[in-house]
Amino acid sequence: MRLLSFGILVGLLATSPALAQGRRGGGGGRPAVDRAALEAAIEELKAPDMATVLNAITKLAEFADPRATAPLTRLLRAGPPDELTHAAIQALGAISDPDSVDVLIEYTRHRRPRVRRLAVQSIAQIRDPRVNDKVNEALRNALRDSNDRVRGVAAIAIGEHGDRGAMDLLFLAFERNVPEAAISIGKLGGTAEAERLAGFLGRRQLSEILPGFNEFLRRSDFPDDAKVNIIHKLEEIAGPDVKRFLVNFLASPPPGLSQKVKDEAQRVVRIIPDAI
Amino acid sequence: MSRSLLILGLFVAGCGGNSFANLFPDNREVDVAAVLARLGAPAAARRPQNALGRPVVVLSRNGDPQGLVAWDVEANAKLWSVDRAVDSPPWIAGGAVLFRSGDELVSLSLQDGEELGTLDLDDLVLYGIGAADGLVAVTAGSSAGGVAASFRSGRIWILDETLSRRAPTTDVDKLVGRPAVAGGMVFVPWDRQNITVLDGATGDELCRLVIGDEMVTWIFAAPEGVFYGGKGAFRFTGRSASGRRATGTYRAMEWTDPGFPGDPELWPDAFAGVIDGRPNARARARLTWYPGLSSGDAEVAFADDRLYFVYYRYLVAMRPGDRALQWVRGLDGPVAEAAAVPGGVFVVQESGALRFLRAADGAETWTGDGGVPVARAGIDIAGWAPEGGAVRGEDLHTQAMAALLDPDAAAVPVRSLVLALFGRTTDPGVSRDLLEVLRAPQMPVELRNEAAHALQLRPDGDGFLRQALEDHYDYLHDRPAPPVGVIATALRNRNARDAAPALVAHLFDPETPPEAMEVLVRSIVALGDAAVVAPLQRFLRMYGADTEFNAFPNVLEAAAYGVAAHGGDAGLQFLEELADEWFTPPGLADVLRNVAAGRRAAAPSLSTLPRSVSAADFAAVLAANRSAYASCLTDARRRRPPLAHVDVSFTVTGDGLVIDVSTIPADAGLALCLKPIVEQLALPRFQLQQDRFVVPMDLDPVE
Repeated sequence: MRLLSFGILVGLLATSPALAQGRRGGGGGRPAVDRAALEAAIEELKAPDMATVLNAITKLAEFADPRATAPLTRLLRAGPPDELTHAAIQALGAISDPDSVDVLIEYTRHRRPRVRRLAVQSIAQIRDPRVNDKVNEALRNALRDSNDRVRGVAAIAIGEHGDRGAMDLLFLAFERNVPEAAISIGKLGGTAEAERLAGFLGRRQLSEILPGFNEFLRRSDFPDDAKVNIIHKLEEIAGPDVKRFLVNFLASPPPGLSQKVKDEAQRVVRIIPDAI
Repeated sequence: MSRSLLILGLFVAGCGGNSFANLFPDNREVDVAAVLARLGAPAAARRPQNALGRPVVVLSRNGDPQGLVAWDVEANAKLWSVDRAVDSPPWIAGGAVLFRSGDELVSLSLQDGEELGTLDLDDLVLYGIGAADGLVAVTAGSSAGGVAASFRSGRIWILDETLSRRAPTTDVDKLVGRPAVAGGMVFVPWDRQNITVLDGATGDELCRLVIGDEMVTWIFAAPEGVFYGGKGAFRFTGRSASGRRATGTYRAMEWTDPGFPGDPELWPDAFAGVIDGRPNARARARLTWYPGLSSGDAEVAFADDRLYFVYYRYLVAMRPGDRALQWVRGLDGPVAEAAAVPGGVFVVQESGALRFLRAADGAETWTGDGGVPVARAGIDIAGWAPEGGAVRGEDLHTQAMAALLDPDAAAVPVRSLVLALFGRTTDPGVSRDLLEVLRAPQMPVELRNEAAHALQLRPDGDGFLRQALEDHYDYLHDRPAPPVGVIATALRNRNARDAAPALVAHLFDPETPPEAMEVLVRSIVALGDAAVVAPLQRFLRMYGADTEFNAFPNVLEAAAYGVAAHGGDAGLQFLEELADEWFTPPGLADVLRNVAAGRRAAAPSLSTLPRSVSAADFAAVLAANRSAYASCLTDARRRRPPLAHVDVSFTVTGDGLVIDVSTIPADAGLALCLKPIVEQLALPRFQLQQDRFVVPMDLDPVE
């Protein structure tokens, strides 16, 4: 069984806000882009040398302007070398224009796992009701991938994208040794899913389950009683990992965390000795 | 030179005797007739041939202490047991049980296990014994089987059951194999090509056969006659004097498809020395059969029309003529020995379990337990068959599927054989079963490949192969990718044109292994039309400058060829434009330009060809050249006498390359023989990438 260390998962969690900030959605709140610079970068995509094209793609990713979607799509469909493929897919993710969904879906089936991983990450950034179904289907399909890193990225992306309909699939993935699925379960699930995840305590590594609980506990839309219930479940298996988890949670509590939950977490921290 | 070789050499030099003389005449009809007169008429075995007249098995104990256990099968009770070193299988020989112990041959009474006598083997390698009616023949030699001719030397003892000499011992400069005894005579195979018949009383040579077109690797005697052969089986009849398969009483049993795991002989090799008494790999993977009673000189029959294959813990029953699968049975542990007898097959398992399986359906009609772990066993039960027993509940389909889905990795080779045999049965439901095998999550890849191959040979196989392509890898549901390379080849061989879209779906599936990609693309090109151009172009774009196919450049070349073949001018233009892109690797750019240029150059002559040719026109070309491949037909007829007519399917490219040849009924040997010969003929040319022609052929020579 592949183990995902607690540290790695915490690291993944830490990147989540950054991914969210990278989303441009429909373009609201985006700083104005210099039209001439944009057009120049688009023109440079046609240059017959790798460095110039790579530089242009980087600029277009920074601009994150949907007007670059079609030129970048054309570049991808022309069949560039590996480096340009990677960069163009990431740039489309940064732009997150729904018009790029089709080409990104094509690349979620590329033969190289790295390309599939990048395509999954990019496609997950596209938030547009017109393409939600396509995106959800592509992310769910990526959960079936033979490559564990692609599956892991897809599992997290489903949570990022908010596909609540994928809950059963996420649990199946978790059971099938895709530990990243716990994060999305925590992001999207309700009280029943929290109970279901708690059912894995004692059967799976705690380090694989805690990231899911972390998500549940940090959500403002998750009931306090259910959060307290999670803490009680953790109390039942009290140990250094649980104590460390709750101490960290209390050290950086989510905004608006209720006193009731905080008190319960503090109580459990107190009763767990430092070393067992 | 060893002591034994030296002693034997001295004997051979000094004691020519009356036997094995160089000038003894071969294949003399009068000699054969005299031997036949002494043998008497063949008869069905009515009771076991041992002195007790009861079905008996003798088990050699595997482990400490070594020893033998004699078991009366009919009474299902132990006769006796002895503790003694056993360095060979035990042989039941009339009223005795013989076995090697150290450098001695030991004879025990079958009745009570008391020692009857011993024989010093002089450090020679024992080949085996034959016995009947109190006469025991033993052969040994300087080495086991493969000695160069100049060092060959053998010895033949003719003894009674106390191992006292009944006739002079004969030393010869020949490789002498395990003998058979019948009618007071000793039949000795030698140098893998000859049989000498000795008089059991005098040791004089009565008759000599030289077989010109078959190696003689075994001989045995039964009430039904004396049988000998190599890959096929001869019966000793008046026609034996011909020394040829075609004019002897002979049954061809050669085949290459399907292969049997372990490559077993039709009967155990008489020239394989008996090295020890340990469990033997050859005994674990072997064929066994018992001769049927035949009248006249025409045929060699198999009892119950059965040939059994034993592998590890499986028994597979086939019809010997066409290897049609009759039943399959998996036991609960490995088989130590098995012997076909009239009415069924008797099995001794390494655990000590004893079973009689009925010939008709494999039902277990008798069981016993020898009570000891078994290394080897001697079985003498022919003429006894347990009565009754319920009809076996599972039909052939259920038996075969149980074997095919058996997770036991050690049984994979025999499961593969069962799959190949099962795939040939005419039951229309079999194709669906093969598909189930193809789709089973934990199925070993060799079995999945075999299932795809079996589907290729079935008339309704195309549809099921296409169904298999609907599957794609799914980690979450533990669904493996189908064996795309094998399926693509099968569909191409069958010229399944409507399969192109299903194949295209795997072109963009990352789970298609890189080594399968070339055959996949070539199959898409061969079976497809203009509709495959767009996906092939997209494929070329996606991977042309990508590193993915650096190690498999033929994949991209095949795709380019498809665009050129089906894409018309626009397709050629696409290739030329892609070649001119700055990022297209130079090697690929050259390929693209060459493919486009080649197609442009060939276009005028292609346009003069018909789209395809009729099956009748194709058949006419073959008929006019029948002499070129007539030997293939004759050989198939010889190997499978019942086969008089076949439909041969040829899948041929428009430029005359033969992609595949298959026959109905399936005969891989015939197909393999025809392919290179037909490929040399001036076959009609046409525009289509490939087409398939079915040509009826009679195997008998045309008058």
